[in-house]
Amino acid sequence: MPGLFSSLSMASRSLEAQRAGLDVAGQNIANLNTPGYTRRRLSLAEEVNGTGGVEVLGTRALRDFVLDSKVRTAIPDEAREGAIADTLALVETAIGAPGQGLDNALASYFDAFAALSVDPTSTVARDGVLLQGKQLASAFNATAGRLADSVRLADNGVRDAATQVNSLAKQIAALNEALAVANGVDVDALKDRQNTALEELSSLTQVAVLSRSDGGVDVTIPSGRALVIGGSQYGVTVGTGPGGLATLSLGGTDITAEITNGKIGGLLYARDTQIPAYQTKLDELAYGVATEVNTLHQGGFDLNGNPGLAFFTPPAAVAGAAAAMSVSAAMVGNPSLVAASQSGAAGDNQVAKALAALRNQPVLNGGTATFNEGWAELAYAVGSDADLARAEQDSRQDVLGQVQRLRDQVSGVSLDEEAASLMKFQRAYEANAKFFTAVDSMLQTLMRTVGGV
Amino acid sequence: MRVTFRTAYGGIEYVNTAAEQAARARQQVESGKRIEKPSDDPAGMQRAVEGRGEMRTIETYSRTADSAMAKLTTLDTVLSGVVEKLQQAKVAVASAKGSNASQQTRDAAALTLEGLRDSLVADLNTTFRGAYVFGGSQATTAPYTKVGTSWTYQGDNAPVSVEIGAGRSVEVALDGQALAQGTDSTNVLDELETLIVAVRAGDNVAMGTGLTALDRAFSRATRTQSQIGVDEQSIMEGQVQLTASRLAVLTRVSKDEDADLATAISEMNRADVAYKAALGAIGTTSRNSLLDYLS
Repeated sequence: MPGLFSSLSMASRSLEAQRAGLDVAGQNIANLNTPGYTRRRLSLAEEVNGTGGVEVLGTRALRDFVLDSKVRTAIPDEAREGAIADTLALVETAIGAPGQGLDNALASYFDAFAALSVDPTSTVARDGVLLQGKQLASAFNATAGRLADSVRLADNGVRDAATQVNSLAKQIAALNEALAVANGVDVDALKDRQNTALEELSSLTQVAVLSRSDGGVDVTIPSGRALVIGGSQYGVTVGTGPGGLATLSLGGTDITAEITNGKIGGLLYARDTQIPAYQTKLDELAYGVATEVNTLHQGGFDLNGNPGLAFFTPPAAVAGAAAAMSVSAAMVGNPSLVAASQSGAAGDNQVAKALAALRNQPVLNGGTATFNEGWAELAYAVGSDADLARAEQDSRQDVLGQVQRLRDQVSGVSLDEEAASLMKFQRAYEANAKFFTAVDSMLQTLMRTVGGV
Repeated sequence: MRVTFRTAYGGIEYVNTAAEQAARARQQVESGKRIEKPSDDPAGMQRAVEGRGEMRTIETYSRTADSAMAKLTTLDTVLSGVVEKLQQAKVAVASAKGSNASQQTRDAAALTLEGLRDSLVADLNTTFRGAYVFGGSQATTAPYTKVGTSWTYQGDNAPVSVEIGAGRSVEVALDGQALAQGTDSTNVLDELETLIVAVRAGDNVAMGTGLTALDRAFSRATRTQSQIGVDEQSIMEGQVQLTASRLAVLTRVSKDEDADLATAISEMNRADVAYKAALGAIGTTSRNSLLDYLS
């Protein structure tokens, strides 16, 4: 049977324990809005060394490693589609609404030839053809320019993301060192930060995470190359590849093709696969227009009876044809050089007619599509890719949201719970204080009795 | 299920989604367009671009037909004049023919014929917006000029036609020689020159030959004019067809491109209600806390 003094010390330990409970609740409430914070719970147990009372075993973070890793695998998918959708949203501005993009310039150009076919000798009609030709060329230039801008922006995104990967890897390596030194004591805050850093890293590229026995993590990219091992981090270096675009390498090996997920994966996919496909389509269209028009134009005669020149500067190759498209320097400002005539007679309009009819000729894709259909196909390709990326992002976001909610149910802080626990510990503190006062007054009574005169 | 602080405020995501939907619905109503960028409806975008291309082609046909019509109307008017003048020439020759005609009558007839000849030359050298219309494809050279003593055709017989529909075309410049000479050995202007001499001289035989030549020229002119009339008719019919097919394409494009206002407005109202509901929900959740009930 313990004595009054041991009751006093038990009461004081209990008071400490309840105060610790209040502290934990306070800590949880303080971090309501802290990203990556895992709620803490106070572990209390009955004292077992015979003195009675309560013992504080410590605080525990309610972390679910399975859900943490599920969140980490859901993040890169969502980030990849988001990056693609954002990039393509910009590409879409290059296409414009129906009848407001390149299709309009194409139609106006062929319209001008139709007008010329009615009045083959008219200078006004000839000027119209030259003007619309110039407009068409600049529409091709502008569209090609916007696509090139999108590539550049995606590339800048890759460079920025690589820098972020390095700073996160450095952070994780530093946390690994801190965890190793801490040796399992008070590591919850460090683990929270570690998890936040890993999630941020996952949004940039998918990573594989291996736990170390000391609480640290080793991080590799999916192909197995290490980013972080213990306290050392291996930086991603950004090089310059073909076309001035960024290449990524790790430990001297080019890993650009190995990153297929996360923001970087999405940006690389848009930069290296999607936009180049649009550029090729646009170039084919420009090349087709320039060469077909030139062939017909050079087969005719101008107003002076001389053989027709090339209307557009002949494109050297399909690649880059859209960006380089221009009306031949010799034609500019010389409406009389527009070849409308087949026979050389000034009033003959057969070439103008043939050029006007070119709009309905299937000359693209091996003779299966008209120019307008070629443009419609490009618009469809951009639109469906952008639409798909947005829809994918939405569904990935749902998945991510669900996993995050599941985790939050385990690890998140509930204000109501914390309010209840504040109350609980406060009341317990009050009761223990009461107990302390009771023992104290008993002691005083005893003192008075013993020392009573 | 534990409802945590983050779950309670997680509703802000739904507010964002609802706000985005409301903004999109409002945009559709404001612009009246269902497709503003390709991803709004990729397949619809493709159809709309192709449809708009068709519409532009039809509009071009229609504009070309208008210009062709203007030219044909000019040709028609000129040919009416030619027919009339040939008729007058025949009357003048008839008045000078026979033994009763005095020299004075014949001189007057010859003067009339000279006037009619000049007028016919002017008709054959008619220009439309600066281009000769009776010279075939030779639009910059006057079709009939006097070379030495005879009138010579400077044009050609190359047909000049314009497209007024898919596979439909009309000729907008005529072969002047086919009109003035046809299968004859001399053209009508030279015939008139011969007649003027014959009328002055009272050469009844030559006048007789000249009259039959004028008859043939007369029938060539009326035939040409009726051909023009057929073409004009065909353009008008074509225009009706073009208008109809343009409307058909427009309806088709509009189905893809334009927002159905009734649906769009009800969609906007629905999205608006959803947005308000989401705001209300988050407002209510965040207002309630156990802390309010503890003293």
